[in-house]
Amino acid sequence: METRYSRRSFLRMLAGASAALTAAACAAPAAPPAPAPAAKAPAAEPTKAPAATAAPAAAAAPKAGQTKIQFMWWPIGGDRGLKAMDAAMKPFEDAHPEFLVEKVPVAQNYFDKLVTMYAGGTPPDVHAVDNYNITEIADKGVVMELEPLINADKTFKLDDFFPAALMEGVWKSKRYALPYIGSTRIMFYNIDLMQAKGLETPDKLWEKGQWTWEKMVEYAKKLTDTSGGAAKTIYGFNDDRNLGSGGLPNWIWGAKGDILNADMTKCVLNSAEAVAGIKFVQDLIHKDMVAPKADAMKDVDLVATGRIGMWMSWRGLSVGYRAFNYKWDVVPAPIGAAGKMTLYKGNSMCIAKATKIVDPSWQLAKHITGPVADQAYIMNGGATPRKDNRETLMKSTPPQNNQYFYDPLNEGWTKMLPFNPKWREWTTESNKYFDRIFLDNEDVQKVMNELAPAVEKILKA
Amino acid sequence: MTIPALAPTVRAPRLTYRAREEIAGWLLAGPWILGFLLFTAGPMIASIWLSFTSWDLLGAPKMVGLANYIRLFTDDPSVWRSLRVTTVYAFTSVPLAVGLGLLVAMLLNENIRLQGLFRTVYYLPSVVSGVAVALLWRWLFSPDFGLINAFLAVFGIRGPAWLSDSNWALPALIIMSVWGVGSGMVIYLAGLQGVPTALYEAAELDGANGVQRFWNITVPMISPVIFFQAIMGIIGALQTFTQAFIMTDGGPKEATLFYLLYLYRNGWVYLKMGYASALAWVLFIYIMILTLLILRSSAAWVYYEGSTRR
Repeated sequence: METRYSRRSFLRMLAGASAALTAAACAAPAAPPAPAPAAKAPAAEPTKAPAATAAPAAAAAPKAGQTKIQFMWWPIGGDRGLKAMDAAMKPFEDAHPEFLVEKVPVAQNYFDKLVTMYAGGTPPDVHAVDNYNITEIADKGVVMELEPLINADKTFKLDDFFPAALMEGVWKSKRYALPYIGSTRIMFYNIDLMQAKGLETPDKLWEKGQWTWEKMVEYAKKLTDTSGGAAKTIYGFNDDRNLGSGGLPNWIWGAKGDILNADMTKCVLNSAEAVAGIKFVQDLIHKDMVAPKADAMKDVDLVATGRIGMWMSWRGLSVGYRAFNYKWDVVPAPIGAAGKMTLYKGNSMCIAKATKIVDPSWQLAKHITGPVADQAYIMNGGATPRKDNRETLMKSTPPQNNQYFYDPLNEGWTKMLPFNPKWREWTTESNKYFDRIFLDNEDVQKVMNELAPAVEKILKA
Repeated sequence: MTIPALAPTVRAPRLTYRAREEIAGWLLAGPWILGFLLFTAGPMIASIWLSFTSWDLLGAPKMVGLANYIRLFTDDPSVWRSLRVTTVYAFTSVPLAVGLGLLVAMLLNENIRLQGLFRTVYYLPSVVSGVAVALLWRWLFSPDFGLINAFLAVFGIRGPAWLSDSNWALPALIIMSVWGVGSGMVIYLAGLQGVPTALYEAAELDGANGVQRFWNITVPMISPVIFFQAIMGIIGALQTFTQAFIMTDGGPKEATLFYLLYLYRNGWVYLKMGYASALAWVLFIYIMILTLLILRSSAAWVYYEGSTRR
């Protein structure tokens, strides 16, 4: 039988359906499942090497008796990073069938999402955090203080980590995070370019104690080749030109300068030493002309195209570098007035203070900062904040000189950035001052004399 | 034999046609109204209150009175810099877009071959997402490899560093804004087709040339469309964000620090949501003042058929 609807009855049905849908959408969500019984006593850390697994499975509902732990991180290298975390997580999942780890990978705007989740009262139980941001969330009191959990767990040893890596997880003498990946800032070099110029590779000079700032400039000059015109110029050296990405601090510290004073209340970038370090980088661009100006770097990957002889970066990029069609390796930052010195910066794992599953979260945090998971990160380009995985690090080649990521931590000549809750604000605000130095070649001392009070104003606000 | 008494039947009062239509209307509009109240009006009202607080998103907001507004007006040079950048951008890109949009519309209003194809081609850029456009233009502006400098090099001109040069970064974004003239063109076309041909014929008989016809017939007749485009363009341009966020991050030397980018930084990078809310309301008032000024000026230059000019 054919049913006919009048315009009015059709509109009535449509309106009714809309109202029903709206009501459904606005209805309170179903009550969350009652928390599972407390997890069993800490299990011994699995020691089997992690196996690679496929892409992460979609979030599944916990089975009866299972406790769901939500874990958020950002996968480094896209799909590669997802697989690395799967490999890192598998031993935990095998050893703990009573837990269901819901992995939440966030590739973009990670901290925005994390903050929003905290603000909404739904933070992940365990999450990664870039160490740039630890003090920020620790200061707000949203992440759990870890000392009580560490002290209660006899299977966990803080001594397994390098002290420098551990320092970044501390704010106001309390620990809020455990290191899980990190890298010393290191110098990469293009072996092919060096061989073409008949230069001894910098690692040989380093071993002889001759890899100095002066030597580096000498090398940079020899490697720079402008004969191909602007679009094909090869530059001897390059580095980031700001504080936030870790480019400048090495040169400031190397010249015996510093960024902030010890209690982080005063900016000392206008000291003669800090100015000398910044001036050194400025001269590489404008006086020696061995480093590219900003316009030459715009939207061109000079490193990938083999147009940079030496550059500073992190180990995290090394897996990507393996696709380059030239040979490369690493050497520590050259020795300046301050002697051997380099920056270490890592990322960490935190537990949300609001978590209702403290022990399962601790078990997970312990595993993903542990020795087995660490091996998976190393294979994905991470260097290690741990003392016990040197062998794995050395096997993950190229670079062949992986020991230079490890030695500075082991020998204690690394330095950490002066993180504080306003780090992002004052480093972002400082960029316009560094633009004046590196784009317009303005006098470093004059600009730093303006920057220092601007930073202090932010710190005091 | 008794006959059972019939119970009186009570009929529900029937709604009038008008009432039923009204209910249906409200129910149909309901989802949108609810969404508007929850996700637009609600946050807007909340942001008024937040603008008088210090709020880092993670803790409870603390009332600070007018402190955010006082700081904004007296102690934050970046506010004025960003306002200047945004205003310069709006008052150069919008006239450019209005003029070029009208020009293209007039060309495509002529009876030419493949008219439909040309109209589609000019409109196409308008449907590309802002981020994709920004990435595309970043390449076009590349100093050593970009098409723009390659084109200039043909004439022996060494192009500037565009987005890396504090003198050229903002002009580059203004040039880029021309990309979107297609969306305005469609509206102008509709306006142009509404101009009675009799007016042109009469003008021709009176000996008016093309320029005279344009200034004395076309422009007055489509002035409401131009007015609409100008108002919407200014409002949109004052809220520019994507280009600066993707292409320059406000640099170099804050040459492209748009107001909305600075607001975003305060809210999401510095976690000063209270201050960001104050910035948002100042922008709202600024846009409102400019819009009112343009509205007031319209009496002098916008012609509405059938209206009496005062």
